[in-house]
Amino acid sequence: MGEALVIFINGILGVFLGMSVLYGAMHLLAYVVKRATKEETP
Amino acid sequence: MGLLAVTPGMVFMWVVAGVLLYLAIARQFEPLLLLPIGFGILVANLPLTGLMEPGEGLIWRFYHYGLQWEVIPPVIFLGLGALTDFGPMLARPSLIFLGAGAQVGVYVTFFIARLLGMSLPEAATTGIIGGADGPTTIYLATRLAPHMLGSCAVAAYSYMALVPIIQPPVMKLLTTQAERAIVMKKSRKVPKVERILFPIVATLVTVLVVPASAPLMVMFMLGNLFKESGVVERLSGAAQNELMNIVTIFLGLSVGATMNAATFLQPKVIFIFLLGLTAFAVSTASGVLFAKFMNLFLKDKINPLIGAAGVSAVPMSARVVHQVGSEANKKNYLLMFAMGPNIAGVIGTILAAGVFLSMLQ
Repeated sequence: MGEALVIFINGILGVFLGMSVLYGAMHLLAYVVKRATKEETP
Repeated sequence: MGLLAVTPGMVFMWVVAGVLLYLAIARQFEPLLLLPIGFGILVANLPLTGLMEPGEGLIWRFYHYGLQWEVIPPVIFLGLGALTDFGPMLARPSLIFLGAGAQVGVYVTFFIARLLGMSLPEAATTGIIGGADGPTTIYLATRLAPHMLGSCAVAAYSYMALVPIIQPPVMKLLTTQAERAIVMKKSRKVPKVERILFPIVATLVTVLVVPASAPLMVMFMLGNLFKESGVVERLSGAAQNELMNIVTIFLGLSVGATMNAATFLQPKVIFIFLLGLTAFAVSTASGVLFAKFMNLFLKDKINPLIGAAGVSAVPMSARVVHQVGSEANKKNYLLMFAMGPNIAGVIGTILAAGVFLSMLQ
């Protein structure tokens, strides 16, 4: 059961970590694209 | 003669096959999968055919080279990626956490399955049903618990078709009328460049965090890049249509053919179906509850119903959310908002499966 609990905790943390990093990347991507398009159209 | 070799178990499986074929054809429950699965069950339970004879059988070859070699599920994801629009998710990035929230149900069910005596790989294969993602369920079952492949696939696809029945009671139990009536602020428009760059960025990020998710994630994002780039319409078209349809045929037939009487007529199968239903319900609940938790910190509140769309039965869950939301407020149009967590849920389920694989293999 201990192993199951470790997998349970790691699983939830792993999914949230992955999504958190993706969230950050999405915001960064949106920011970079917004800046790049602003520079193109003064 | 084959007739003399028929056993009662085989006859029972013919009835099971008949039920699935009826559901697929007459009731249109996920017919693209349940029809070939049902037929696969039927032919796998005909005696002396040799269709599933290891090394020689026709359907065994589809199963071995398609599933055991882990080819078909990633190719299905190529097609899914080419069909997916990440726009609603990109427009409001915070919604991806609802896709993560719904995966809590996967792990809760995993834990319950383990408590009930299943082995860790079996419990993981049962838990992933809650992700409501057929190819991921099949991929994980093939890797961790091949003897459960048929049962878990049938459970997953059956419950996906039953989402309009399973989800609404859970959603209504966990939300108030006022919460269900929340109108969300309109999302921004997503530029084309962002849509093109997203699959590349998402591949880098998710595979670096959970490398075991690579086979499915890479193909999913490649398919999406085909679609969004706009320069490989033939490849995008083939991935969405011809390729997807071809591998779906082999997938369904192979999965169904693994369900012979000996593997299906076990007490464990009842647990799989009960736990699969539990997985769907708990994933719905965890998505809704996580949305309510997010609202504690958000200035522009989200309608907590969209948390249920983190259960990645695309687009059925999103439609159900819209339906329940419009019952509370006729002017509310939640469909596009719900598509965000719906698609994020696909990514979440791939990550959840990746974590299982990295810890159990």
